[in-house]
This record gives sequence, C-alpha cells and structure tokens, in this order.
Amino acid sequence: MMSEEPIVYTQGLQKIFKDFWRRPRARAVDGIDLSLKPGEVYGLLGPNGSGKSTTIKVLLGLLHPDGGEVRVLGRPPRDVQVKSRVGYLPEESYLYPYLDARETLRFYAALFGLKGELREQRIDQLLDMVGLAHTGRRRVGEFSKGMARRIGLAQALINDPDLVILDEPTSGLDPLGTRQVKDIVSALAKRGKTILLSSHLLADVEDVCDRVTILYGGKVRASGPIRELLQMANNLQIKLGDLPDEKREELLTALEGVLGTRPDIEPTRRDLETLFLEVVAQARRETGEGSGTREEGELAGFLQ
Amino acid sequence: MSRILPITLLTLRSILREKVALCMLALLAGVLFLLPSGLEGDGTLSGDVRMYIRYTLGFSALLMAGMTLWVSCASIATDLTNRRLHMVLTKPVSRWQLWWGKWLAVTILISILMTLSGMVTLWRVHQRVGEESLSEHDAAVIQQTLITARTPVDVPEKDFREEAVQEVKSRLESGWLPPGQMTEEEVILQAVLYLRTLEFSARAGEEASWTFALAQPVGEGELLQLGLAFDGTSMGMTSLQGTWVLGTPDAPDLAVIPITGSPSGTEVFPFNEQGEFDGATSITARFTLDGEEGRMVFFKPATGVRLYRPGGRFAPNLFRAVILYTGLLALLAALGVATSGMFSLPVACYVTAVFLFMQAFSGVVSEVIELESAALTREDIPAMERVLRETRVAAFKGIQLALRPLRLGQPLERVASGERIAPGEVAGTLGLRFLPLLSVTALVGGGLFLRREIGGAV
Ligand SMILES: Nc1ncnc2c1ncn2[C@@H]1O[C@H](COP(=O)(O)OP(=O)(O)O)[C@@H](O)[C@H]1O
Ligand SMILES: [Mg+2]
Repeated sequence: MMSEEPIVYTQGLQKIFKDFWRRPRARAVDGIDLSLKPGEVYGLLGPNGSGKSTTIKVLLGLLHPDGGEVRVLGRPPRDVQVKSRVGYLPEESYLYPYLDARETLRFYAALFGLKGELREQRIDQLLDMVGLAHTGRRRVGEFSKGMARRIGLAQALINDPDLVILDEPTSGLDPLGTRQVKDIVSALAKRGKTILLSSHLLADVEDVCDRVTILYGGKVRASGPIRELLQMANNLQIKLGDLPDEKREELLTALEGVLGTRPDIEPTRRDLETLFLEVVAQARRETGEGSGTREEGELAGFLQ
Repeated sequence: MSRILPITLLTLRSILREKVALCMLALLAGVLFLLPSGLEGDGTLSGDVRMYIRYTLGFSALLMAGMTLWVSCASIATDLTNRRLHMVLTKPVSRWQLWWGKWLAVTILISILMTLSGMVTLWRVHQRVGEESLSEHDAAVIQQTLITARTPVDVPEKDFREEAVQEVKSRLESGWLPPGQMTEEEVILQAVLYLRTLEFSARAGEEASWTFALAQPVGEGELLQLGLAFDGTSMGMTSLQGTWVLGTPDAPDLAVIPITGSPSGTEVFPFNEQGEFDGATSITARFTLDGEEGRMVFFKPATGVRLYRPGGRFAPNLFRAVILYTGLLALLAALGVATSGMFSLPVACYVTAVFLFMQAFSGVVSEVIELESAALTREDIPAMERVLRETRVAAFKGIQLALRPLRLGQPLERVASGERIAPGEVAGTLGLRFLPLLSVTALVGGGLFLRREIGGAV
C-alpha cells in the first residue's frame, strides 16, 4: 500500500515576497528541505514570522515557490487531484459567517463531490468529534475563536484525507481543546495518516510529533526525530515513586558516595495542564454544560 | 459542474446578505412597484402605458447595470480579502471552476431579476389597459401603436460624398476659403455631415419629402405608422405646426396628418385605417412646416423619419429584449468577475466602471477616428507623425470595437419605442457577438486569476 515516495517533499524551497514593482521585500522561506514519510506526524516549529505558514501555503499551491522543488503526494502541489487527498486547516478559520456549522461542512463536502447520506453521516460524526453537535442553527459568525477553530478542523477532515496539514491547530483553543486536538492528531496518525503541523507552542509539538524541523528566518536550524533532538547525552533523570523518608535519606547518601556531591532533589509536580483538565472535568460533573463546546466525542468513525 | 454549483449557490447566498446588493434590490422593487403609481402620467391611457414601459424598463435597466457591476466586482475580491479562498481553493476545485461558479451566480441573479422586471412591466401595462372600457377599434389602435412590436422601414441611405465633393469644389471656385487649417478632406467630411443633416430637416414653407420602399406590399387592413424622432429646431422654436401628406407614387395625397406640439422626443401617427394603402409597395411622405420663413425643424439623421409596419406581439418582443439585455449584463458580469480576480474590490469596481462609462464617450471615439483618418489622407505629413497618427487611429478603433457590445440600454430602449427585435438578431447577437467576447474575457480573466497567488502580497 504505502509507497516509499515521501508524502511531502521539498528541496531547496524558496519563497520571496515582492512588492508591486517586483522588488524583493521578505525572504520568507530560504532553502527548506522537507521529506515526510507516510504515517508520521511532522512538526514545523519556529517563532512568529519564521516562515511556517508560507511553507505550508506553497505546499498547498496557494503561493508559487521562487525556487527549489516541491512535490506533494508525488505530484506538483497545484494539481487539483492532489487536493482531494489533502486536508488543510489554515492559520485562522476564515468561514462564511452566515452559515451554521452543518451548512459550512456541507459546502466543503460538496467541493469534494460528497453527496447525500454519506455526506450527512460524516458531518454528524465530525460535529460530534469536535464537540459542536449541539450548536444547531447558530451561525459560525457568532462562534468564539475556539469554536471556529474546531469547525476548521472538522472541514479539514471531511474528505478523509491521507495528508493533513494543520497550521497552528491549537491557536485560540483552551487547554481542553488543545488536549483534544493533540488526541485527534495522535489518533489520525494511528490510522496511518500523515500529518504536518506547525506551531510555536513547544508543548504541542513535543507531545505528538515524531519528527520536527525548527525554522528561523526562513531557514532550517535543526531537524530530526524529536527524541534524538531532546536527548541530552550526559544528563540523566531518575524517577521514583512514593518513598518513605528514611529510604530517601539512604538513597541520597549512597548517591553521594558515588558522585562525590549530594544531588538536588525535589518532589515531582503535576503540570498545570493536568491540573486544569482535572478541575474542569470536576466542574462539568457538578454544573452541566455551558453555551460553548461540549465534551468532545470519539474520533469520527469514517476516518480510516 | 458538480463543483461549480455549490460555489454558485453560496455566492448567491452571499449576495443576498450584502447590504449594497440588498439596497439595490429594494430600489428595483421600488422602481417596479412604486414608481409608476408615484409618477402621474398625463392621465391618458396612451401616456400612462408609454410611461410604464419606458420608465420601468429604463430604470430597471440602469439599476441592473449598477447591480451587475457591484456584485460581479465583489465576487472574487471579497472572498480573497476575507481569505475564504484559502479554504476553498485547497479543495479539489480548479480556479476555472471558481471563476465560472462566480460568473454563473451573477448571471443567474440578473436573469431572474430581468425576467421579473419584464413580467412586472407587462402586468402593469395590461392592468392599466384593463381599467379602461375601450371600443374594439380603440383597443386595436392601442395594441398596434403602443403595446406592439413594429418593424421600421427607413429611407434608403444615401451616399452624400459625391454631392459634397461637388459642393465644396463649386464653393472653392467661387472664391470661398475654408476656415482655419482645414484640409480639403476635412471640409468634404463636414459637407457630408451637413448634407446628411439637411436631408432630415424641413424648412418653413418648403415641402420636404421622403420615399419608403416596402419589401412586401401593404397587407389588407395593415395599420401603418409614421414615426418621427425630433432632433431640434433652428432659432429655439418651442412648438411647431405642420402637415404631413402621405400617399403612393400614383396617388400622392391619400392621407393628411396635421401635427402640432413640441419638437422633441419621438412620436408615431397611425394611418391606413381605411385601407387606402392596401397593396402599396412604395409610400411617399411629404412635410410642410408652417410659420415664418427661415424656420427649420431637424429630425434625427437616418432614423428620424421612418415608417413602421406591424411586427408581432409586444410580450414576446419584450422577452427577446430582456434576453438581449441579460446577455449584455452577463458580459458585463464577466468583465466584473475578471477584474475581481485580479484586483481588490474598489479597484475592480473602478476599472469596470471606467469601461462602462467610456461607453458614454463612444461618440468622441468615433469622431477622433474620423478626423485622424481624414488627416492621414494628407500627403505632406512627416513620417514620424504619420506613424503616430496611424497608431492613434488603430488604438481608438480597438477601443471602439471593445465598447460596441456594451452599448447598454439599447435593446430595452428599442422595445420601449415599439421596435421589433427579430429572433434572428437575438440569436446572432448572443451567439456571434456575446459568446466569443465572453470566452475571451473568461480566458483572459480566468488565466490571470490562475496565476494569482492566494495569501501573497496584496
Ligand atoms: N503576504 C506577505 N507579504 C509580504 N511578506 C509576508 C507575507 N506573508 C508573510 N510575509 C513575511 O514572511 C515571513 C514569514 O511569514 P509566515 O510564514 O507567516 O511566518 P509564520 O507562519 O512562521 O509565523 C514573515 O517575515 C512575514 O513578514
Ligand atoms: Mg503562521
């Protein structure tokens, strides 16, 4: 099934924004090489303005490269056939404000040629998945940023794409939403989809990505499997469970004997995300639902 | 097609959400339903009917042109500035499909609105006629003079050049000097214009006459009409009085029509109510203007004095005019969508509107071509200047060609004046003029849109 050909391939990709007189204004992408293997989650990491979105727009055929080679699913990115196998969530969700959530998804489904029962089924599943099933006739123009983001994610998956490109998928989302997006990404990857996501939020990338490329000023500054990049060869961490005081003292003395100095020791803290998720889950059990999003459902079943 | 349709439907929906478009729709509704009741006609049936036809069609034509301009220029441009195209164009939709989807939406909208305007006009007219209890004869006259489609018969066009050359020559021989730096050719051109104007004028106390050759003899009981289109008078006369005598070459005095009133606009006078002209193949019309010597009245050159023959029913004719005008607007829509794919909304509107308004200057354009061509006949121009002038003529001819299909309002004006629009003309204009132009516009507009970057520098 899976060919050895990279799903996304760029070689020396360049994009220079020019002004009206064709004078170069910004070298947004400057010689980027990427190669995504089937089924991997690939992270594009970089501060604001480092060229992540520009790279993605070139991959989608929205912008034309000024140099280098680009292939997506083995074809040039502007090929209409390629697009039926790609799902894309832009940096911001630019929706038609007078459509409701279902109409929005119907429109994008129609652009993929999806019709009738199949289309409605997918829409139901996606709305459930992103927790917007209850918004009914409310128009997306009234949605909060996070809700709009969720609709954006749903439309990116409506065609059951092989390649999913998410530009800052978690921007504007609350920690719950963020967690959920990360879960969706992991679940999609398990089902064999290739995912390219960009972010400036390091935690997002760290949790889900297999490989990352770090961009700065349109250039690749580091690239590789995330484990390798994060490993610090000479710096180890020991994790211990519940330990009675006298045992702890014994251990430290033993370590001091080996190392010559007494090592630092501090209790493990849960991270803020875990705490937040627990608090909200508790609150939900007590007060029921608000007007925003609801607890999200399973990954949509049609996504294979 | 299955990809174009959702885009078309969504675009229609967007248009109906847009404030400017909604205002225009409200105005159109006002024109169709309120204007005729608000404007008091002269109270006569024929006055009212003429007003309904002329004003409702005229105003809705104008509004529809404005609406087409706005809606088509907004079509791609707003989606671009709102960045919605990011999401649409990353779906398996080609830019051509998007382009045609937008065009189709505008065209569907204007087709519906134009058909509605035509139907409301028709309904109004019939309602107004129904209010009167007319004798059979009066009803027939109204049907044939007002709510009708007539085929005009014009006097054969004359070539005045020969005559003009003679005239100029004889004047020059008698010692007359042309004013300023005019070349002989320019003087001759002026003379041609002068003679053409004189041909369609009448001088007090002198009989002016025109002869109409009919392709088919006058049928039994066929109601004929004399149509006059005034083009002004000498010495600012505000009212005129005169007598038309109509006949055939064998019997020149079959009907007498006295006219009085203001020498402006157009008027028709029915004749042959008793069948005096039945079987005639040629009709003469003679006019004598009353009043002081030296007074003159001018009719529009070429079409100012014409004969009308019945050409069918009004409703199908109106329908044909609506089709023609809708075709015209569809062409304008293509222009709007094309600029919309290239520029932002204000710039697109500006470019398209300039094109539209240049229409108003098409007279100037023709004049420049005529004068420059005349100047080119001179032999003493330096080579450089000749090249320059030739380029100018070519450029203006190009502009003229480009403007010709956008002569807005024409089919509706014609139907309002009761002129028949032949089905063949509709098919010919749509197929041979609009379709190729639409294709070229789409090819150029869509092609440029194809190359445009989405989300790049604006
Ligand atoms: N339309 C544009 N015109 C000119 N410069 C642009 C445009 N879009 C982006 N840039 C520039 O390109 C660089 C990269 O932008 P972008 O790819 O959006 O960064 P990121 O997504 O990593 O935040 C920035 O310096 C930005 O200013
Ligand atoms: Mg970005």
